[in-house]
Amino acid sequence: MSKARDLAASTFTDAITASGGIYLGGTGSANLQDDYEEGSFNLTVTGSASNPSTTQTIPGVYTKIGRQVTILAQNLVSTINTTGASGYIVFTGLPFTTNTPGVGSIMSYNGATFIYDGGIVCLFADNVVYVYENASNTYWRTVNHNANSTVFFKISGTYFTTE
Amino acid sequence: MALTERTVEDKIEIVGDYKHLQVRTAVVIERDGVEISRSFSRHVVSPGDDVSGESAEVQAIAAAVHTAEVIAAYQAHVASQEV
Repeated sequence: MSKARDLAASTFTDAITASGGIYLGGTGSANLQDDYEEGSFNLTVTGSASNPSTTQTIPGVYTKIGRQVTILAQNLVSTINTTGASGYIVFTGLPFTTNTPGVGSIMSYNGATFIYDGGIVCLFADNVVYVYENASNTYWRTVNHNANSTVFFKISGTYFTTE
Repeated sequence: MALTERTVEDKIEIVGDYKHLQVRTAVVIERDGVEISRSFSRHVVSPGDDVSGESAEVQAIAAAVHTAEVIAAYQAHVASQEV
């Protein structure tokens, strides 16, 4: 009986350790699933011109599968205070640096000033999150802070990391 | 039975052209010296970041790899992304 048949016929009740990874759908390097990790991180709210008067952070969680990282960060339990922040919104502190910039979603309550009222996205670049808005027939632009004592943000998305 | 908790930076990676430092911190729970839980949190140290709050090990790595040239290149890279 081959090892593959052994695995197919077996039921495992304990965790399986495969420190070298597992080949899925082939045996090439592109088929090797060699990393999985769950954890937490904190985004720090900053502004391109000035930061909030006191450091404001947003807790987040991540799951990394291979080179793909999915994040969710939100402060829906308690508000943050962005008083003192100005310029466009920048969140620092992604858990992994990006290989190439990725795009995600963002919701804001009181925290942002929009001009175009177009689609809003966040851009993951390096270990930073920028907020952009789109508009018809023109370029995207960064979104500025609406400095406020009662702000909520919710950010999610998936990007690729270097390794 | 004794439960103990310890925090350790169990992985420090240097990644990418700009030598970002990916730091993983693990909170390890042990029962009578045997690990029963390990949870992770992460942060990234970019070239030019203030590392005064980092561990001595991270500070030493940052000092070695975040040279003036790397910091200048990264700052130019960041500026190029801002529209």
